[in-house]
Parts: sequence; C-alpha cells; structure tokens
Amino acid sequence: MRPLPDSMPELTPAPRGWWERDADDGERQFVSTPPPTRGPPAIEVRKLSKRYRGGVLANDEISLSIPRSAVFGVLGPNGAGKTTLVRQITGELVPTAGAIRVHDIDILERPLAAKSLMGVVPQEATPYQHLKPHEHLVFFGRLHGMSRSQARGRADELMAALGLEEHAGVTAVRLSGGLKRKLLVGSALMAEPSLLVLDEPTTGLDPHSRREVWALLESLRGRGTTILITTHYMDEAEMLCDQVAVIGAGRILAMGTVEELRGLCRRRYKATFENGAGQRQTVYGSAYDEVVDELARLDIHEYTIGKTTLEDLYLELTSQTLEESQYA
Amino acid sequence: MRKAIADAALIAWMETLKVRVAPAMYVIAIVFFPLGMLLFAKAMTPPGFDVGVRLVTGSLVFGLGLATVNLLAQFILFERFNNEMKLVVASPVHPLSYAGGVLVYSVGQALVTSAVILSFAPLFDIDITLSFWLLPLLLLTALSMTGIAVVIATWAPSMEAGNMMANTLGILIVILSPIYYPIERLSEWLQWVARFSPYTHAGEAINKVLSGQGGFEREMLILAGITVVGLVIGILGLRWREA
Repeated sequence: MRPLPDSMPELTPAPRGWWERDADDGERQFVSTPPPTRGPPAIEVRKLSKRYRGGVLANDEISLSIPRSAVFGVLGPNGAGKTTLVRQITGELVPTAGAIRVHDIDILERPLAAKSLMGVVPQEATPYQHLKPHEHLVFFGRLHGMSRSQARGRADELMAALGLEEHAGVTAVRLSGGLKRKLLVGSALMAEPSLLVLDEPTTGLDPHSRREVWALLESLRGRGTTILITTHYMDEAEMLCDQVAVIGAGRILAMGTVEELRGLCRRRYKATFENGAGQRQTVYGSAYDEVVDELARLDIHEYTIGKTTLEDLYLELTSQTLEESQYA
Repeated sequence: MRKAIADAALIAWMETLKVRVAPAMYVIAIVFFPLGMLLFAKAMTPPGFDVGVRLVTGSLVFGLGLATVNLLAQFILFERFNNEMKLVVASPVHPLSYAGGVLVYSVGQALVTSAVILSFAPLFDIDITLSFWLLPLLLLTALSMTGIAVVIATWAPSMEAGNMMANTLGILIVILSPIYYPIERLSEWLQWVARFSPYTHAGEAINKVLSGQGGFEREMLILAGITVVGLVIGILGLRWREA
C-alpha cells in the first residue's frame, strides 16, 4: 500500500483581488477582498418560471440574487434550464411568471434601459458572417451608444486582447468556431458593461484561448464588473466564480460559494484507480480512512486519492434529478 | 428617438455591406434579371400593340413589391434562424430600429432596380414620361406590403415556412393585381379582391404618370392608405422577444 501523504493536495486558485497604491507611502499592495457592493444587486430574480408551449416547465420558481461585482456561475446538465434562465434575464424570452430586475430595472418594463447595462454572449449566437472582426466589434459598440472614434479605439484594444488581429482581413464566415466565439465575447465587451452575461462562452475554445478569455474576465472582475456565466466546465467555475448555482430540472439544487458547495458533498474523499480489466474506477467515502479501507478491501495498491471536487457534487446532485425526471 | 434613428441607419449600413460578399449576384439580381424580364416581355408582345409603358409599369411594381416583400422577409428569416439576430436582440436596440434598418436596405435595393428599369426603357424603344411624382409612388409601392412581410418573418416557425409564406403572398398579390390587363377582365368577386391589393392602385397610378397623364391622385391616396395600414400591422405585429 502506498504510504499516506502528510497533507492532502488542495486546489489553490489564483488569488482574487486587485492592486491598490497606498495613499500615504505610495506602496502597491494586493487587496484580496472584493470591493464592498453598493446599491441593489446586479441581478435579482424572484420566483421565475417559464413554461414553453407544449407544457415543458423549463424554469420552476427560480429565485436568486447576484451582488454587484460578483462572478456568478450557473452549472447544470443539458436541458436543466440554464439557457432559459439566461435568455429571460437578457430579455430575449418572456417569462411565464416571476420578476427580473437588472440593476434595479425591470427587464420587462424597461428592456432597453436594462440592456444598455449588459453585454451578452448568447449560447447559440453567430456573428454576422459578412462583417470583418473589427467591423463587427465597432457595429455592436455603436449599437451600445459609443461614438465612432470610441468604438474604433476600443475595437483595436479588444482585437489585440483576444488574438484576433491576425484575422482582421477576413469576414467572420471564414473564422474557426473558436475565433467566432472570441469575436462574440469581444462584441459583448465593447461598451465595458457593468454586467456581463455569458452563456457557455468558452465552449469550443482550445485551452490556450480559454485561458485568454479567463484572463479577460478576471481583469473585468478586478474592475467591478458583475459576471453571470453558465458553463459545463467545473474548472472554469472553480477558477472564476465567487458563487455557483447548480440547476437541475428547472430548479436550483444548490447555491453558494465553491467551498460551501464542496462541503455539501456527502462523499468528501475519492480515490481513482485502474481495475483488473484496465478500466478506471472511483471509490468515494465521507472520510479519508473510509476510502483507504475500501481500497484495501479491493486489494488496490496503485491509486490517486484526494478531496471530491465541485464536479463530484454536480454529478451527485444532477444524477438524482435526472433519475427523478426519468421516473416522474 | 435620435438613437433609434441612428441605430436604424447603422443596421441599414451593416446590411448594405452584404453586397461585397457576392457583388456579382447582386448585380444580376438588381440589374440584369429585371432588364431581362422587361426585354422578354417586350419581345413577346405582338407587333402593333403599344403596351411598352404597361410593361415598364409591371416591371416596376412587381420588382418593387416582390423585392421588398421577399427580400425583407428573407433577410429577417436568415438572421433569425442563423442566430445572428440574437446579438441585436440582446443589445439596447428598439425592434423598430432593426426593422427600419432592414427595410431601408431592401427598399434602397428595390429603388436601384427601378432606376435601372427607367433608365433602360428608352433603349428598348419605350417612351416614358418621368415625373417627380414617381418617387413617392415608388416608395409607397415598396413599403405597401413590408408590414406583412415583417410579421411573417418574425413569427414563422422555421425559415422554410417563412420563405414559403412570403413567396406565396408575393405571387398571389402579383397574380391578383391587374397591371398587365384591365381589371374588367377579372370576375366580379376577383375585382373586389384586386381592389384591396396595393399593387392594383400602384400600377394604375404609375402607368398614368409614365404615360404623361394626370388624374392619378385617387389611386395614390388609396395606395397611401393601404400602405399606412400595412405598416401599422407590421409595427404592432413585429415579434422581438419569444413568448
């Protein structure tokens, strides 16, 4: 049996915060606490329900409140209702019941005022195929009220930040799927919105591009932008999000910080190994010793042991919901 | 209001840039196709029948009408079902700005076609009289069915269904509008139906103007009334958010 390590490996995401210069001595220091939020929440959703024609209840009385400057993640399997929730928040879909306020503006009563505060990257959106990337960015910047010169300057910045400069001469139809996605993210960022809503923004991106987008989102977070992101990627949620909501069958199954959600998982530890048939297997336990005992019982000597992750909680919660909906 | 107009202009400009993707196709659609149809119709006319002005009128009315109804519906349908429109819906853009922008582009394209037809008519030995009244008449003709086209495009359950509805509407209106023949040739009930078509009145008014005749004011007023009704239907029926 492999000797137990002295301490368990921990996930250590990059420190969150920003650099400030001290007023007295001019020294720069890192402030790790997010700035206190002022005013009403960036997004407030109360008992939001959406039933499509045909009777499908995609969102069932969802309530949540996203404070300003927070990065809020929504996790859920396909068909859980994430995109339906986001589409209602961005004003693309009319709710069946409930209320949505964006920076204290009712999205249904004053959609233009609410949208002027938002940058949105819808999941299934496509850039205008006939526009070049710079033209696309300028177009959406101007739709958000920027002047031509402002929009052009900002587009230049984003072209560089997103790695689109070498593709400046081609129309969007000739871009790869990943580059199109980056162009959509850039278009949403043009007017430097106070609220950014991203529906699976890094789907289809290579790891390098994903990290470029993450870096961009982290820099926005440091400036106080509220970010709502739906994602399938656990590492993305763990790296970026202050709070996460897990959605299943149209309802919120769990909500809290990443650490709080990890703590919800009944099976705190897991070990991964290859069985006699060469297949990867995982055993879980609520205590470290429980896992070790199980491995010993199975006569397993080569294994990797660690704490359960957000993905394990996600699978635990959503598999229950999938079973319920299957047998409903 | 200023932003709404600016947004419409911006969207019209953005739509215009589509021309550079396939300029040859646009030249064929806007120039060669209508001229070809006019030349064909002229060639098929038996000698001795002086119907040149009627042929030009028909080319103008159907070119304008079909171009704006079909083109407008196709643009909106394509952008809607290709998910390009999602970005605009998520932006602080009034739905009428979007519709107005796409409309300006479609009407602009149709007016270019009209200018080409009017320019080439004398070359086809067709004597026409040009008047500044042609411009408002052509605009009203182009706008008359756009409201219904917008409703079809924003409510259609699929791109195929929307295209079919827009094409069917356009063709029905064309067939039922007595531009190439006197209205009296239709049966009584079809005459009543034809009177509700904006193209019937557009055809009469434009034919009178091109012939150098007067007395087109009645038809112009009726056309304007039908156009206003159609635009109101379009404004009220435009679907921007999914229910």
